[in-house]
Amino acid sequence: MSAGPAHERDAADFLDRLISAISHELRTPLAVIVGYAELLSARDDELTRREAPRRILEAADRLSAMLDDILTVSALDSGAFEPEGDVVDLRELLELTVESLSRHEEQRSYSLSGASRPLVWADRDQVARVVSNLVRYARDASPHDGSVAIRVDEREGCAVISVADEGPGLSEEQRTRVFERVSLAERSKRGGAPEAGLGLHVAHRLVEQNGGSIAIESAPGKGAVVTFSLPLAEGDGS
Amino acid sequence: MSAKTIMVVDDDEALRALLNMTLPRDEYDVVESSDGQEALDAVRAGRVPDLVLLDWRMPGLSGGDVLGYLKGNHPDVPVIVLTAEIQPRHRMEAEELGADYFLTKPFSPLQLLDAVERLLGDGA
Repeated sequence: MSAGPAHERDAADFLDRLISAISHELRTPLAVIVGYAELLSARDDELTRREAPRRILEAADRLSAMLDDILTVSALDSGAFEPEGDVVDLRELLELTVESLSRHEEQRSYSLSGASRPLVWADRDQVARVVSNLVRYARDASPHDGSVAIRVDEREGCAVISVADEGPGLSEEQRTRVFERVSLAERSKRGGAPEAGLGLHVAHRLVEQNGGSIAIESAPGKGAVVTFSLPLAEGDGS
Repeated sequence: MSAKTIMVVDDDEALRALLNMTLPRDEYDVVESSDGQEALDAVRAGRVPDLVLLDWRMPGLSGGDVLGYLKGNHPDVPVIVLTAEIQPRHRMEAEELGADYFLTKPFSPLQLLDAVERLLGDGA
């Protein structure tokens, strides 16, 4: 095999790892869908009839979210994802997200606390994606019978949303790289890590694009809390 | 006849649940491990299964790490490797480490069940 210039080999290696990572990410929920569908067609017991449709819907939802993230990154890179400002009720978005994600859950629980109902000036669809990605990240990190705790506050002219999980937590190195785009390819190189995936990278870029900020606190064994803030809409500073 | 024990090692909860449901409960006791370390801790503590279903790519210890230990210490325990990788080198690596069977995700649960029965000598 001929060895090209170093940058070409690096690019080929990166592409190989990226394809491998995407293949792994997409094929796992696909395996769940195909597997349960086959069991459903081959068996007629109560457990399969009850469990398979729920599992298929959940895996299809995961698959759909992954494809959305891939397309969003591509759109952001091409500059075709400019935010359109609107008054957005963040608490309503959180309530809708939790309702949607918990529909097929039997054991995992979601809590929404904080008394405020902040209105922010942002792109509604983009903020909805941020909220969805953060709650999904916490859900996937937490055990299947664990809980996801979401809190809504207002501080210094901003709406502040935090999403806490009961997952294994991140090392310092994982924590500092959790919003990086390369983490998907890195996942392949490192053999998989719980912090990987495009969801947090997409959330990071969309929050910044809408004038906000995002951060994560975590330590091994202590779960993680992702917090983002967005400026309140004019006249909603009470 | 006592039920045989099958260890399912996969970091994806939904996939572990699928594998668990695929294996008939009156024939197999299924124990689940969410990562390679948990699986090896159980084996080192003396809970050696009759067969292992092993994901290839996991956080921490990889499927290759677990397979290498199992085949080095319990060579008679059959191991079926499950992977989302499509490159032939992953299959070759698993075969070199002693994998008894190799399935690419998505796979047929009934095909998996056939392989389990054959490796455990339970087939027709």
